[in-house]
Amino acid sequence: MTAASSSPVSLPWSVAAAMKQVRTPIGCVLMITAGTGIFMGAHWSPLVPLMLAFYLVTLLAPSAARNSLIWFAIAGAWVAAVMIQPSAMEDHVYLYLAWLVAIAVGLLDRDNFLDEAGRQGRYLLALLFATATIWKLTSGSFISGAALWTSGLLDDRMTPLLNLAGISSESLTDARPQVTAVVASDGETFDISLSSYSSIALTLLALGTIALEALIAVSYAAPDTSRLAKLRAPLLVGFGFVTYAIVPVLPFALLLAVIGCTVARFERRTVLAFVTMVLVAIVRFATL
Amino acid sequence: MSAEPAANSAADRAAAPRLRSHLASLRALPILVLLVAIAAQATLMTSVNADRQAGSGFAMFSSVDFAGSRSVVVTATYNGDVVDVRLPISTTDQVDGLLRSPTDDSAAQLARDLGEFEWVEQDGRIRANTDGTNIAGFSVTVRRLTADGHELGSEVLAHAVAP
Repeated sequence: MTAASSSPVSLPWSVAAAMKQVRTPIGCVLMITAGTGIFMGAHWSPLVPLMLAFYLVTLLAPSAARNSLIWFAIAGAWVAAVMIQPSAMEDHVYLYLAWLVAIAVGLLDRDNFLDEAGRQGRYLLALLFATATIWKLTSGSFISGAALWTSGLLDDRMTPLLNLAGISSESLTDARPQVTAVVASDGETFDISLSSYSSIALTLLALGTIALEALIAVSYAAPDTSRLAKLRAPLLVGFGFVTYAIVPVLPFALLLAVIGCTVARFERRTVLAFVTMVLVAIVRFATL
Repeated sequence: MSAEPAANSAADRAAAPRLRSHLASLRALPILVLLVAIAAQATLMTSVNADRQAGSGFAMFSSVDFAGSRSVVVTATYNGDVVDVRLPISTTDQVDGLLRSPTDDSAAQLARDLGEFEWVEQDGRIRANTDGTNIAGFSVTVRRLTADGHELGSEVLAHAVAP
């Protein structure tokens, strides 16, 4: 009989060993991604307990969480969710689904996980921001600032941004019933009638947003050896600060942070910057 | 952050041997997932005017037109007059669906379903009430905002009249 002389209780897993694995870059990617899924579950609550259990697996049994098949299975659960409840899903859920598949693929060659997941993350972010740029360039109402004004009119979270552009909350309150009347009847029109300062500020804001999103797309699409690659994290963090300080979509912020950290191979300063970005989203959310 | 542990264990390596042999082809899978999702939403946005703020389009805040800026206008002929209709709460999901993906068919379905209720007049509008009377000829119109520079207008996205 072998005596467990150093440990009176034999656990199926060792806490110390588990913590050591969680503190590696792979462990962090898996744990934060699974944790992000709990917040994503807000779009379809049946997935919350599943993602909570999965998060605990990545935390308490990190070796088991490094099995690629488990990540394909979790991705499958999200495919089912978007098929069953498509109207409840927003764009970041689809990015999350693609990222789950990216992790599953990356874990097939765990020795090179960060290389593979980082490359996948680059492509996903490049595609996401290229798409967002194209919609804004082609919508016909974004560059003029009309889209931002209308969004601010109907979404109170955007009000501080419009206030910065010199548009008062009172003017928005006055305009609301008039715009409602325009969209409810034929032939009526409404002139947004901005001051020249507000008009220029909104246009610059729109152009700045397009430039920032386009640069993010280009920097993540560029090879790692390109000078543009050095701009990836600063641009993405800058986007996160500006966006989530106004509209705090926490799951999206977490997802961009974990993908951004993976692409940057968990370089210390980059991780700190992304953590700060997520904190900005949390503070804004808490103070809405 | 501590260093990576040693290479994969034999058990890990055996976890997905078949998939591992297809690693090269699977590398395209994540980007394909996102690409298909974006293409599907883009198709819905251009074919049935699906909401830009929902789905997988990444088109948030890009236009004056989104579900929240649209309207569903319902009228009916009651005692010879055209009156506005106060929609019953039970039609909320149907109306939300119309705002997200307006089609003539779904507008016609709402117009037909409203014919199942009984109605009474109140403050120049009609509202559903079990003590009311059945009426027909509901008109359902979904409109969206348009912008010409800083001038906002609107246009019809879907329209139907129940017989």
